[in-house]
Amino acid sequence: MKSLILFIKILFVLLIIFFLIQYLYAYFILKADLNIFGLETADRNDGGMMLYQWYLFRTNGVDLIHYARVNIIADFFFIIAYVGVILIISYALMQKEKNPFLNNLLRLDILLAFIAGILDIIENIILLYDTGNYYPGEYFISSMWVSYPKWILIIWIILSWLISLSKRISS
Amino acid sequence: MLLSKPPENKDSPNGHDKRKKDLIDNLLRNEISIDQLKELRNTINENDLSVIIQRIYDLNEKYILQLSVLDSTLRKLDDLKNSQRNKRFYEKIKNRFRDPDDPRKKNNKIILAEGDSWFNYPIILTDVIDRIAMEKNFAVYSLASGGDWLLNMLTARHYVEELSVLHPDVFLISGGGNDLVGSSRLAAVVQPTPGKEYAKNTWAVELISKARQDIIPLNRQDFMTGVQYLSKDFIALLMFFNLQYFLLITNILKSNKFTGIKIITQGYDYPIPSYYKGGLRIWNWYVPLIRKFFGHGSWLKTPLAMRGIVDPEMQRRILYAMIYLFNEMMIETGRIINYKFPGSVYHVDSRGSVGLKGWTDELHPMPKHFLRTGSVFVDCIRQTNPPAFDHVYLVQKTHPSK
Repeated sequence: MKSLILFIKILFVLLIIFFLIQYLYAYFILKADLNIFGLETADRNDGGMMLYQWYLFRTNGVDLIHYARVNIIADFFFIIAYVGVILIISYALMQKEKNPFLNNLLRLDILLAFIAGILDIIENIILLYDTGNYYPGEYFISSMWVSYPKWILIIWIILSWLISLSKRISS
Repeated sequence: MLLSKPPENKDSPNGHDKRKKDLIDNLLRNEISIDQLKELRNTINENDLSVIIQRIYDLNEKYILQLSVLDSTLRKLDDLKNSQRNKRFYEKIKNRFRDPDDPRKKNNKIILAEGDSWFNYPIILTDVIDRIAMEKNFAVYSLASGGDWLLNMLTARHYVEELSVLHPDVFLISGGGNDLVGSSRLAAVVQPTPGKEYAKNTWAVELISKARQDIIPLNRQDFMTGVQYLSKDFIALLMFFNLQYFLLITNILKSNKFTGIKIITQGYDYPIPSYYKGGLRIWNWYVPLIRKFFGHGSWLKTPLAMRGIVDPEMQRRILYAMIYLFNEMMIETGRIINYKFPGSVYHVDSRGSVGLKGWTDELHPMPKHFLRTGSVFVDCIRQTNPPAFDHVYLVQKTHPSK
C-alpha cells in the first residue's frame, strides 16, 4: 500500500512535467498554442475552429492534432494520478479535522474525486473521438458538458481543503 | 458440590490448581458467587483465560491463536494506518515532545492505544484515536487493530513491550466487541427462548443494582426483555471480560514501572442489528458502500437469526441488555482496580450517544460520533471536566446528542 501511494505521487509529478514540457515545446518550438483546456471547454463552433487551426498547423508532416491526441492519451494516466493525489490529500486533511462538518466535507471529496475522474474519462473519450475523426467541416462533439462539472468538482475540493487548512492555521 | 471440599488442599500446588479449576467450572456453569469470582480474579492468569474462552466458544487452541487474524487486505490497511500514526508519533518525539526542562511541554502526553475497530477503522471513517491524535500536545502510538479480540491483545502482549519502551502517560484500551460478535460468535451467547441465567447470577444482578441509573437511564422494559435471551455463556463471557481487564490492568499497575499512568477503557453504545444497506446518500455516501462490502448484518443480525431470534425489536433489546451490562462490567472493573490503585482507571461510556440513526454499520458509529467520543477521551486525559460520576466520563452527557 505504501508503494502504491508512492507510485501515485511519482506518476502525478512525472505527468505534470510531461504536460509542461509538451506545452512549452508547442509554444516555443512549434510556435503554436496547444490549448487543451480550451478544447475541453469549447462549444461545438469554437471546438471545430480550434481543431481546424490545429489541423492546418503542420510541422515536418505532423499536425498539431497529433500532439493533442498524445496529450489526451497521457491524460488517462494523469486521471489515475490526480484522483489518487486528491484521495491522499483529502484523507490526510480529514484525519486532522476536528469539526464534524468539515471532516465530512473532506470525506465527501473522496467521492467527488472519483466522479471527477469518471467525468474526465468521458471527456477524454469524446476528445479522442473528435481528434481521431477530424476532417474540416466535420461534426465536433463538445465535451464541455462533462468538462465544466469536472472543474466545478475539482475547484470545490480545493476550496474545502483551503477552508480546512485556514481554519486550522487560524486556530 | 466441588467447592465445598476441604480447604487444606487449597494451599498445595495441586490443591490450588484444583480450586481454580472448580472456580472456572462454576463460572462456566453460571454458578459462581461474587466471593468466588473475587477469589478467581486474584488468582487467574492468561492460560486460565484461554481455557475459559475455549470452553465458552468451543474453540480449539489453534484457532484461539488465529482469532485476531484479519482478512489480509484489512490487516494491511490497519497496519498502514498504524504506521502513519506512529510515524507522526516519532516525528513529535524527535522534536523533543517530552522535555522535562521545558515548562511549555509539561502538558504534553504520550499515549499508547491498544484496541479494536473503534480505535482503528482503517478506511474512510475518522475513528476515536484519529480524533485524539489531532491534539497537538498528544503523541499517540497505536497498536490498535480492527479485528482484534481482547483475548489476543492480552495473549500477544504487544502493549507490554511498548509500555516498557514508551513509558506512556496514558494507556487507552478498547476491546471485547470482537470477542462478542466476531465470527458469528454472538449466536453462541444467546438463547432462542427466554431464560433466567441473568437472574441466577448475583454478580450480574448487582452490576445493574449498582448502576447509576439516574445518570445513565436504564430502559427497564428493554433490558428485562432482552436479558432473558442471554445464555449462561454470555454471563460467563461478561465475567471473563471482567477477569481479562482486571488482569491486564493490574499487571500494568502493580509492576510499579509506570508511576502515574492513567488507563482509560472504552464502552460501546447500543448497536442496532440490521440488514438495511442504507439507500442512496450523498452527504454520507460511504454508508451504503461500507454496509455493502464490510459485513453489515453478519455480526449481529445473522447470528441472532441463526438462533431463531428474528423479531427486530427483540434483537435490539438483546443488544441493549448486552451493552448495558458490558459497560456496567467495565465500570465495576475500574472501581475494583481504583480501590487498590486510586485514580488510575477511567472509563469513557458511549451509551446512548450514537442513537438509532448514527451508525455507519452494525458496529461502527458515523465519524461525527467517533469524533465526539474521541473528544471525551481528550477531556478525560486532560481532566478539563470532572467525570460524570466516580471514574466515568459520559459521551452523551458531556456532548448531548442533537
